[in-house]
Amino acid sequence: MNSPDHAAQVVGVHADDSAPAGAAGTTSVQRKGMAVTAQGYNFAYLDEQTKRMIRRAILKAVAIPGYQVPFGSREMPLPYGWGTGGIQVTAAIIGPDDILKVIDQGSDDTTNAVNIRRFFAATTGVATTERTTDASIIQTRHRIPETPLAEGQVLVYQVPIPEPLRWLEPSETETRRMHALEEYGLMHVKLYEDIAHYGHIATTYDYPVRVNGRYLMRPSPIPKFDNPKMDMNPALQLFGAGREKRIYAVPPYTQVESLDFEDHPFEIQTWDECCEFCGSKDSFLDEIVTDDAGGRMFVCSDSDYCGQRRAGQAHGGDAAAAQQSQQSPNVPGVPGVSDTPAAQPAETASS
Amino acid sequence: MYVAVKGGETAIANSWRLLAESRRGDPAVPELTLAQIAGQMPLAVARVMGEGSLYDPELAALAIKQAAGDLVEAIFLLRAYRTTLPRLAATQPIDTSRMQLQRRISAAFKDLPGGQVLGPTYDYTQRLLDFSLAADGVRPEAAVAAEPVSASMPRVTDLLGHEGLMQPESPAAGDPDPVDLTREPLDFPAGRDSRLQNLARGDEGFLLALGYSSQRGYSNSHPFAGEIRQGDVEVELVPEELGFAINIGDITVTECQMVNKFIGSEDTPPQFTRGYGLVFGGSERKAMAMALVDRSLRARELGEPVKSPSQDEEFVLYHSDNVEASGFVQHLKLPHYVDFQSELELIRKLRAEHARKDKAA
Amino acid sequence: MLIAGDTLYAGFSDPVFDSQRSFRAVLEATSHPGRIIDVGTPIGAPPPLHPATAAICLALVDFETPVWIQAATDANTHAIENATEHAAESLSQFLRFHCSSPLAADPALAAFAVIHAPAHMPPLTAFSAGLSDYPDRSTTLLIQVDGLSTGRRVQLSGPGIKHTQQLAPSGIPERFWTEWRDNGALFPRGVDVLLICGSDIAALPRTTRVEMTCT
Repeated sequence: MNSPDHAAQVVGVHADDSAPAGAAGTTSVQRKGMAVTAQGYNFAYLDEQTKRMIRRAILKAVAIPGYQVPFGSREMPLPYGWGTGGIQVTAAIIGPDDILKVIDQGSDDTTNAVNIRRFFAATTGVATTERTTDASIIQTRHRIPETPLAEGQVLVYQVPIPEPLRWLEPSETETRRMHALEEYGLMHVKLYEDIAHYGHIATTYDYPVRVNGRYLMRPSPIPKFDNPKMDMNPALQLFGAGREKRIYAVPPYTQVESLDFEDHPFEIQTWDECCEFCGSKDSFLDEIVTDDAGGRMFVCSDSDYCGQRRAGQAHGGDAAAAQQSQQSPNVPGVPGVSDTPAAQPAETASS
Repeated sequence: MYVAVKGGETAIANSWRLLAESRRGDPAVPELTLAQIAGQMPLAVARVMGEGSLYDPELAALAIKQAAGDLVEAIFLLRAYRTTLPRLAATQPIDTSRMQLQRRISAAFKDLPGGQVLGPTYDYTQRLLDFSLAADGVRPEAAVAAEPVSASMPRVTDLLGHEGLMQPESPAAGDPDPVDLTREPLDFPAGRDSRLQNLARGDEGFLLALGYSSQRGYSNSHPFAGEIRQGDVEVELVPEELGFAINIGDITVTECQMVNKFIGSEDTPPQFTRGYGLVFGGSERKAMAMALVDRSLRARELGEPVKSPSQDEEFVLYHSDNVEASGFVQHLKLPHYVDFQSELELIRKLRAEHARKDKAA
Repeated sequence: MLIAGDTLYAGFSDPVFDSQRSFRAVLEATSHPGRIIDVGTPIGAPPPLHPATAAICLALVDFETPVWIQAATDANTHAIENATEHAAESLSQFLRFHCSSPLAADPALAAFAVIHAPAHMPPLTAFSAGLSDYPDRSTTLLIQVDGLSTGRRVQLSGPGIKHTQQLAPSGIPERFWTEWRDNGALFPRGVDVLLICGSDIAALPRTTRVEMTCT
């Protein structure tokens, strides 16, 4: 035990770096034989020094809600823009007892979600799930699950561009200064110009929010439909932008306000249709083209939510109601969450 | 449908198999060996090592093979492997004045101590397809020079430096360790250490275009290729328990020092300034482009107006990396149907309102 | 292993998983300010280091993070008795050995500060509150207290707290709460604090507002 630690001091690297350990096995990476397998890597792929660096950034991010903490993002074996920030955040927090769910566009079975889930299954051996309520960590791209999250869960967002002011001001030096001075007028002007021009705010996803009344934050490209779910959510929300090398966070029970104007209050999307499969009228619906003559059908974007509802319907409305209350014990009384559509699926199911 | 339905996992596995098969090509043709790639495509290997930030010809050859010759993909493979390697120590700076030269040219002086050494270069080849290469068995041999390359090969910039004509480059006070962008995020204003590391890892095509733009009037630089040298340098390490440097191996590098006019300022007399390029292997075009862009990016510190893309450090440094750029451009292939659905809904609403207004009018 | 006197102080028995567990405890504490969380990674720690302090240091501190240790490097604390000096020495030995962390002579340059005698600690303004454009570059204080539920009760609110949260740390000087209010006024700049007792921790991130309650 003595020697690795001591040797590490001598050469200036932390002992853990040279001593990969964990469930995945402890063989060192075979350099010349090229037989590099998942077994050769540290638990969750990242070395321990990198994890410490990311963990420190995450803690500062939670302490300063909505502020983008720069971090030494590493090159991951998946391309930049494909979730490397979310992957690094997940890799830094995940432990052997976690249960991981990965979604892209609300679905567990999209190629990118499958790929990331496989990556963690191979490098950590942790259990994975498609059930929102069973997961302790949910990594997501572009959606917040319809099923309300509970205290103790962590939602990890993959973020392409973390800076909310980036389209208005390309210079990082400038936008950093604007955050420091809380100088957000430019964003209001932009949204107001939309109203003047189109009669509506023309931002439909990645809609800017104010966190805890201070930092302007990009929620990542979730539809604005999901924005209200961020507010006072009992779960911890972490955001990772790998290529842009930023981590930010919304702690549980934190105010998240979508920007709006008194005469143009924030509104979410609605559909005239309901889900073809489960009949939901309150979830975010994907439009599916069924023929080349204008045929369309609408289905839930959240595949687990849709599946649970259908399972509930098969067992009758009571079962669905019982299951729902079991799923989200912390939801009642949580402002901003209790009134999301997903809180009343039993009603919808029986109607 | 490529994503929306169940079965993503199987589809991915099938795609992998198909990729492996198409990468291998016709099985009747012998498979490429790493030695063939490393030995016969040294310039591809050099680029992958340089932009991949890992000096290892064998691994670079593997990456090229695995990437089916897509060098940007190979660079990505090498980078992703590199991140998993533990840091054992930092070497001493390499000393290019002690380089074992294969090539050394200066466009600034007709002759100089040590002379001009052309070395292996495409510069004076006629760009005619050589059909003899299509046949096997050609075994070219170079003649051995009558005399060895001069042992004394001072760098041109050092010669100018003796006269005080060249702006000296000295480390910052206390000689701090350089920034390592593979461990820390970029910070602005970026120091020259960050900028040079970023450019050394930067995409050759991007730097080539930027360097070219700086010659065409998008920035005000008047460069001379003061010296380009290529050869082997020793890599040295000082183990703490020994306290002196030991040689841990040689690497091949190409160094380009561009010499630029600088009219001086209130406190600096007129002198020449330097743009610096250093790359692994024989990537000479990259070294030259790097030196041009390095000089352009010094505009702020030299009090020159910052007006052109090649002088804008945020623009250059944030967009130079082809692993970042390739990932983000190609991420548009990922499903975006949730966002697209949101836009559809908005456009339909706006069109409906537009139609109502038209009717009312 | 580190030998201090006759006692062996090993690091984590499983560096990968113990670090992860300790970090998650700190993350949970920071996400729910004032909530008492058991770090739960059994570890031997040289006195006066509490087990949770040792675990947090092993999980988060390394050669990239300068650490300030109370009394070891502070000339102003000469009033503290010799025992404390000795304590600081074994503490800094532990950190240097297990974490390879540089020691910061100036608390304003520290990423982490370890405080084992809060009565004598410097004011919060002595530590780094970060910059207005980089408020993350601030000190995280690990303050060891005598208890987390046995002292004067304070009421906490802010991000991470649904309504309000009670906390009753003992062994923390009264002036701390006034300094804490001033720290909050600096937002987004400010220091973050972890209160530690034994293997338990409770976090006070800079966003947490404190009200003194009547006892």
